[in-house]
Amino acid sequence: MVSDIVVQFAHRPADDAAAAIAAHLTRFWHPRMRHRLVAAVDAGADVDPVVVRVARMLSPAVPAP
Amino acid sequence: MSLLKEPDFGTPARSGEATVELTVDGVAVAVPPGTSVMRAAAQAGLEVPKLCATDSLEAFGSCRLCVVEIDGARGTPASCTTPVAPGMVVRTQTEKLGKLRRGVMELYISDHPLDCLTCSANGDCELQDMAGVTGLREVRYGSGVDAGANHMDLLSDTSNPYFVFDPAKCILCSRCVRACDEVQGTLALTIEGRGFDSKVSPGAGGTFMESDCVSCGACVQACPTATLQERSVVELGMPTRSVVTTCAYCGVGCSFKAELRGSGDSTEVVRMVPHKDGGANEGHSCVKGRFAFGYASHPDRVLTPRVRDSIADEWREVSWEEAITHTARRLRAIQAEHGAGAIGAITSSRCTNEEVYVVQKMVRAAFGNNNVDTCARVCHSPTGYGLNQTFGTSAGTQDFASVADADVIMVIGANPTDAHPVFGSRMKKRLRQGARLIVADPRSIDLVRSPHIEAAHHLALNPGTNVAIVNAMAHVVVTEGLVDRGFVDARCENTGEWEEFIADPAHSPEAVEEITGVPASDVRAAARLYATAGNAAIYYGLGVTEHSQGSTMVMGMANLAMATGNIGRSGVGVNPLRGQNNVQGSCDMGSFPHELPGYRHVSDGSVREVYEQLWGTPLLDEPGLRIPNMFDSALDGSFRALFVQGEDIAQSDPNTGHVHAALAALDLVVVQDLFVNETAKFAHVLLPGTSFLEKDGTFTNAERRINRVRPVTAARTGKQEWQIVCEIAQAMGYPMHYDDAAQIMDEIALTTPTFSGVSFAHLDAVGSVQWPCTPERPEGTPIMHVDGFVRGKGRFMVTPYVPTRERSNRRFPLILTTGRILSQYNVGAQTRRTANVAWHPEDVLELHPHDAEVRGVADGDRVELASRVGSTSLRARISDRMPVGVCYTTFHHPVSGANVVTTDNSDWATNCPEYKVTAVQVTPSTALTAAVPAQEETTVGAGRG
Repeated sequence: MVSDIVVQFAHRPADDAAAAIAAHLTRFWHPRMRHRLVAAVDAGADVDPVVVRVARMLSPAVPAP
Repeated sequence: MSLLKEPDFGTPARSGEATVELTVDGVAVAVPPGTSVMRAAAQAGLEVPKLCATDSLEAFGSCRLCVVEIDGARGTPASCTTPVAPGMVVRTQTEKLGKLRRGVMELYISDHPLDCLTCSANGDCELQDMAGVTGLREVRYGSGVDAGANHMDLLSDTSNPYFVFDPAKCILCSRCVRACDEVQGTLALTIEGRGFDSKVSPGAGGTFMESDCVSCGACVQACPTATLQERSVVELGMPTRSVVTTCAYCGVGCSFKAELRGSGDSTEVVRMVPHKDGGANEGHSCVKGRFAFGYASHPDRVLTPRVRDSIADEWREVSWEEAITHTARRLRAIQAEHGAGAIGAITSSRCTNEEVYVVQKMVRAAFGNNNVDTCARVCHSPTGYGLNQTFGTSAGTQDFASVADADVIMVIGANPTDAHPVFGSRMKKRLRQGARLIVADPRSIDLVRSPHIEAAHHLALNPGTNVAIVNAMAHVVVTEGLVDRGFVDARCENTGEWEEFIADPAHSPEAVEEITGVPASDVRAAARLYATAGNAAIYYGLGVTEHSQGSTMVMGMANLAMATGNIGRSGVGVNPLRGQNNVQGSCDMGSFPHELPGYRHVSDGSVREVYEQLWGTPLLDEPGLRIPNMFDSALDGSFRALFVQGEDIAQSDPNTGHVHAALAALDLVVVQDLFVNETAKFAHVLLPGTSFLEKDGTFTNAERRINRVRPVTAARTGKQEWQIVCEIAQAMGYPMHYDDAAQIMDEIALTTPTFSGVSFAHLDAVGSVQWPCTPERPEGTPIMHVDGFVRGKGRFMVTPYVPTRERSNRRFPLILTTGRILSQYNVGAQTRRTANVAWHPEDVLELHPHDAEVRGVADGDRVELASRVGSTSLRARISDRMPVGVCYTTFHHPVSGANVVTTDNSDWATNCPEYKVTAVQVTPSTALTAAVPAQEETTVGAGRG
């Protein structure tokens, strides 16, 4: 779950944390997983605000599943 | 190769320059100070007769056969215990010495059965050899029972399944006792009694199996007669030839001489003898590597391919051609229906580098995706992530020999005497010499207190609080002014941010005492010891990585080592003790879905271009599915076929119910393995694999040592595993062919900078190499980061402690942690098919006496072990090794299925499962087997980590 990653970066400012998490997901997550995250956020999932920032950073670059 | 016999110099080598010059029988020789006269003579090419001396043990001076004459010295001193001196003039062969030696031999032979022709050691007996060397022609006292009082009627001890002890043939040289003390470090043997009544005794007069003996075989190897002899030699006779190869059990990667009889199809392995020139083990072994190889010829081996349409059907034996064609056709059909990304593979850390390389190549080039992962996902993937982030490379920093220079050894989440026993013996040797020991482990493992060893600090932390402990130690280092400022300033970066973070009082030992359960004073003392006592080395295992913060903990340890300057020389470092024989290698070979060989990301166009040109096909630039993603995707229907190379994911992976449901959901499961393992029960195609005795290739051990694996016998299946993979790829329409395994390594070396120049020919010439190998350093790099880190500067990483989501509560009040035992290995597919079951016939649940008592559980009772995801039944063992509130089991037997209860919580960065923390309840039970949920609803989310 992305929330498990978010808490590891909770010590950092939200923008920094979101950038680091987005970079991590880009480097290690299958595009389908990233796509689902973005879709879940777009659908209004109840998530940490940092996750929303992550999704926005990922959104333009996530390839179709 | 004929039977390989390494030279025995009689006493150990001494380090230093050869500055002491002397002459032995007129031959000039120069040796380092402290060398024995015996060894100097041997180096001059002159063998002094000996019985109690062997160069793996310190001199003992008991047999009196090695006497020599030295100009200016009185009498005839023993050459083994006499150190060389400048200008010494030594004579080893004189009439007087000959008489003395024959006299000694007469005494030995007068109390020895003269059954040489029928003795199992005939041809490999040093007593027999010395009788010849000394020219013994008569025994004035008579021999055997004719000589009067004797030991001929002493009974043999046949309790051990692998060797026999016949005290009637013992000459009391004490080599076995000293081997157990000095080499293995168990101190299980002793000389009992005095004078004529003296005899070798395991423990306090019982049998070997009743004693503390760990069956490493060091005593058998040291014995100069047939007193301690392998049963296989007794039954089969002496071997006639040897093949040097590499053990296929743990990540130590011991070199062995496979000693054989016969040739071709009639080849029999008589015994495995640890190779003195093996860089990892230097002549030592453990019970698994030395003795537990019988699984290779076990009748359960699958030797013919099998297919079936449904897992409910019976298997049908088919030809290789049909199996390969069928597999390729089904894979392509599934891709045609569900997309190129609907299939994938899992590589095995049990297989050779070459076998792993071709599987990831098949996935990337023939499957056309990056859906390849490896079993390292569930063990050391956090090592790769953590060390790469901090040091710039996904590997340990030292060679094993480095531990001999350590002043402080910190063992975290590892149990080397069980899981990496040959390295454990090295470590114990250094500890007996005086190195200080810190153990961080919830359990009181053997190292905490064993003969001649006692940890200075045992930090018995609560499971799941590793990061809090390592942060607290770093807090002490930073706030008490113990930082190696010169090292940090010159070689590290991100120092300020990290020091500010770690100096926060929230990380002090006092602040986290309630979390970790470790008294703050102990943590402070351990930190001071680590930082100030000289060379400090960290060794860690799966007790670090298999946590929700496994990667964070690896980075935390790297921080601690950098802050104290304990990187870049012998005796220090951060050292993962890898679980399987080729975990390092399987990761090196590009088994992770985001990395090509050599840990280069798939998004790196320049790297992809190398492979695209060589392989003749475009490669994807996005990461593929990890193993847990594969399971989740199988359950949502987007992933339909899986090729599993030599892994038993149905038993080894966490949350068995979830794994079984995923496997059952797949349209095609292809298993390549020696046996019909638990995963094969879900398979549609079973491709017989080869044992390590049949493989031709290389393994890479935990110290990055690339060792040759040489075929001892032909593949019993008729095909090498890499050939099968290549043929599947070809049948799928992708051309993939190698003439032999050496060609695969040539391709690896050509495309992977850290393997530059590695080839079978090079390895055969130099023995082994430790990557990184470069044109400047073709024999490799035993110690890394000497002049600078691989990434340039070492990077301090901020490592906040985040508690695991797995919590105990009233329903599940205990925490279960899992591990391995000495005699068994992982899922037990190999060791359960050997006599090692004598030591561990079933998995048991260790419980603290208090936790047992309040549940009404007595030692040996069967109990139900239940977690939030499943339950199983095991026998209880009451153990004061355990802290209150924590229980422990192993996962070697499928009948108990420990992973039925482990959860799918995992490391945030790598998805490595959190095997080490599961909230459970234990209750008395009468059930006999695991209760595995037949199906499980899956939670499809955004992936984990």
